[in-house]
Amino acid sequence: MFFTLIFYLFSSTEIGLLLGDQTPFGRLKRYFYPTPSFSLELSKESKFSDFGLSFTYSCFKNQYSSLYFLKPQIFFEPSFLTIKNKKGKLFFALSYLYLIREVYWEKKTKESGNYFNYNFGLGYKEKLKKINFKIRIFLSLIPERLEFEKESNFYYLLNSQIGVGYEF
Amino acid sequence: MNFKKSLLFLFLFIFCQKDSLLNRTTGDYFPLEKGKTYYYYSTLEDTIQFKFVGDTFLFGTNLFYCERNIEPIFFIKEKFSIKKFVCKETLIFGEIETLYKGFINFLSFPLIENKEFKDSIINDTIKFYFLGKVLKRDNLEVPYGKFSDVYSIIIKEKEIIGENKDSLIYLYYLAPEIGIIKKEYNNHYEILCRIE
Repeated sequence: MFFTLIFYLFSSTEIGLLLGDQTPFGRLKRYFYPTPSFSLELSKESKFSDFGLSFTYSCFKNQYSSLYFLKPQIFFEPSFLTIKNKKGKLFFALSYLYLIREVYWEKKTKESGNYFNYNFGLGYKEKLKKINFKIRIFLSLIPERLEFEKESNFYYLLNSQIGVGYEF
Repeated sequence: MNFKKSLLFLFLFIFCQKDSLLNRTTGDYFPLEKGKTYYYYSTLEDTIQFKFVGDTFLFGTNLFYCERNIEPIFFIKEKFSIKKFVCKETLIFGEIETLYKGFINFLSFPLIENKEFKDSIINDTIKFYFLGKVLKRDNLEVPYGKFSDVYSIIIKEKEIIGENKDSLIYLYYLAPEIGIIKKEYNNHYEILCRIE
């Protein structure tokens, strides 16, 4: 079914490349600093909403460790404002987050983890013939329920992205 | 693609594997929260009150002042380490003489299994060695609660004063956002039972 969706998107549509910034908040901010992110996406425009699949890569670093984010996601971008070829959009995405943590201490150690990630925010899209110009600002929420503790942990990231898409 | 297939696709996303990697990556294993008091049940003495008093300025530097019952303890908290003030005094001919004093690297972050850290204070007649090793990560239950991603850390302190050699071994259990939840030494232990 996943591949059906990819083929369905390929049968359309638009390929986009976005560069951005991920700013950590709360507990993530404790040890990590804002970092660039890179996204590749396939999307399709329908009457009410754009939707598609994207893959995002980013890496948080400090002097002793790195935390790599690999994030495939499905997103929906319904328009809330349209003026000629300019569109104001809402942004919702569900992501599978694959994290790799590397710690450098004499020998490098590596471990990984999987999370589910919710994203919501705002976007702007402008059509210039076959090229689309995009801007997005959205908040990523990563919930974490531990084995014993009653309360869940929540991690937040503020993402901003700017990019272009090509319609074919 | 119909609605049912879309729903199935979303459920596949929702039920992906849970993990606690972020808990141990971003957790503060020695919070030093001002105003809090930790109560430890001890097999050796009455309940121990560990009070996190607050910042103070001493020995020309900013320190975090704690009280273990009435005994003062000083820490310096840095982003990737905790330094502890150690001092040894003795009575010589009725006068108190300081044998050694200084800050040692008590903990080194990030915690990761098998990681070692060491420090020492050495002068002409006295040698104080401090060695820590992170043993393993596990879940642990104490009267205060059950905790995930608890690291056990063995700490060896050795002092050589002239001909005399003395060593102590401690085993600490540290939980994220709480700090020390259990301490073992000389067949005794202290466990966290209350936080106020």
